[in-house]
Amino acid sequence: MVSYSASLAPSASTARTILVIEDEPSIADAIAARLRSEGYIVEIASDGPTGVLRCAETQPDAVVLDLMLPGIDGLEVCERIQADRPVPVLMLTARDSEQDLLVGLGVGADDYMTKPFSSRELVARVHALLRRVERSRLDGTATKPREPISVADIDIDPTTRRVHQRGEDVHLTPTEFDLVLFLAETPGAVYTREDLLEQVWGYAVASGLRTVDSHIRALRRKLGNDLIRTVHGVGYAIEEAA
Amino acid sequence: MKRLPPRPHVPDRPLDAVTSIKVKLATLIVGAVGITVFVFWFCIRILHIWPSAAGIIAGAVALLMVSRLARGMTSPLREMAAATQAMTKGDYSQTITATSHDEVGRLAAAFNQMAAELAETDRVRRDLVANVSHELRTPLTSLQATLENLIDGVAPADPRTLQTMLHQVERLGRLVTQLLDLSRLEAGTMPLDRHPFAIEPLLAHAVREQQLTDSGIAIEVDVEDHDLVADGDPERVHQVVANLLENAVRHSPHGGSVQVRARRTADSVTIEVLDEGPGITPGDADRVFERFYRADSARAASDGGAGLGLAIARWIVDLHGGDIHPEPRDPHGCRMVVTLPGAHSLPRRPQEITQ
Repeated sequence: MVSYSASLAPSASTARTILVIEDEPSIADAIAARLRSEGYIVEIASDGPTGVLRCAETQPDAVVLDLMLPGIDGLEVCERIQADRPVPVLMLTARDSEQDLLVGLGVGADDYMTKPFSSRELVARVHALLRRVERSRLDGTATKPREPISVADIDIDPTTRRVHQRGEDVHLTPTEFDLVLFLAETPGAVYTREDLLEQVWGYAVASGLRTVDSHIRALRRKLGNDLIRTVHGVGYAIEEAA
Repeated sequence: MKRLPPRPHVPDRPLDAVTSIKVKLATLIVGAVGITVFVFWFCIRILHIWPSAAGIIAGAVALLMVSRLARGMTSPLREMAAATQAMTKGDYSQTITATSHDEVGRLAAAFNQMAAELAETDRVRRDLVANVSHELRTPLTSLQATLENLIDGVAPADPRTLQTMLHQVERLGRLVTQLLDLSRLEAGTMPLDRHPFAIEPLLAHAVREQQLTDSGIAIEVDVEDHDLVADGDPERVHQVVANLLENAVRHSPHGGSVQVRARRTADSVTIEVLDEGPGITPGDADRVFERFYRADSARAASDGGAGLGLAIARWIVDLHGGDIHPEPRDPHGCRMVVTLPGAHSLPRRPQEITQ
């Protein structure tokens, strides 16, 4: 049985808009019906170019995006909609090989689900994505700015949400930033993948554990292998002096 | 075909050019005896060494020479034993150094070829599993999401929703049927029931079936000779025509039309299915017959085709000894041309024609 760590209801009183980009009409309709029943406004686009266009028009709060699309594929759609402004993206994929996954994360998808998936879980993940965006927005506008953190050779600024490594700016996706910030706040502390899923993603579902591993791998690719240590059988930790 | 890795350094193999293992062994024996006798004679007569010591020297020289000449005669056999072991674990990459021209060399070459073919079969099997699971995911996702909605009261169980689900189940069913057909065709367990049959009623029947799907695409049948009779398995030929019609209708633009033509060409029957769709580019002309290949990979996701229809059609046509290929149409569209050998010139009375 799946257990979700937080309330399923959207936190804001105003309705949020979700854009669903999926070319199989029956899947798009089912997802849309489910999201509408949770109080979201749902827009549907059935191919890549339309998806990019609708995203610019409707300014959605989150995007559910199929990886295999006619016209231009999901990865490119993800890149284009992220180029305009940061928007959380939940990627749907029919291929579950790790490589596709990492490429997906590289272009800024914040979470992914492999087909066939449960639409109940999809809704929970959309909620979690939106809560995370809400939280980071609060961080950004907090009256008391949070202190920058320096650990090993990286500097993390929670206010501007920027990461520098040896003075160089490193581009991280919102999820990657949240993950590295969470680990860096308590250097040396070891967190299990379940902890990280609950604290950073905001949900605890067994099928999400691979999401944590992939994001750790993406972080290592960008920040080097030495920063984040794997504690075998337990989880992950950031080392003070890498 | 897998590319073979570069050959490792081959030590000098003096008898490689000999084409028979019998001649090789004879050469070795004669050579060994000859050298022994010569060295023995040389030691005793010229060097005046004791006969027992001369015997030992002669034996040693002969052994050295044999081991030198026999180099490379048995190593392919040992390599083959090692490679077979590796194959049982799924590693087909090991190749045998086959430089000799005798039976062992030919065996090693055949072994390498077999290994390459096994590796190819293995790759095709893996691809098939990956493709099949991909084809299963979309209808399953749709069914799961819709069923969850019904159970949780998110969507009503109205006829439209149920129809969508039925459509997905039919899609899964069609995929299973096509996979079984293809597997039977490839295994050769679906023998042809060949006899003369009339072309026109077969085409008309296939068109009627296709029109039941209510696609809104007009289909015209044009048969030059109403008594045209072909030789083959009518049930399988019907399957070919049905698959081609399904493709043609699926790729037709809204309000487009599809034509089916049949005519005699020399000793064969040519059936053509023409559509006004986007057509097949010359680069795709061969690949469209591969299992799960689609000209536009994402396009077919929602239109129901799994990419098996043309693979099945080609198998059937090949079994008949015929030919199938696409041709471009001007300005756009596709003309699928099927040629079946064995046309009959004699007009037959309808009751003689079995269909």
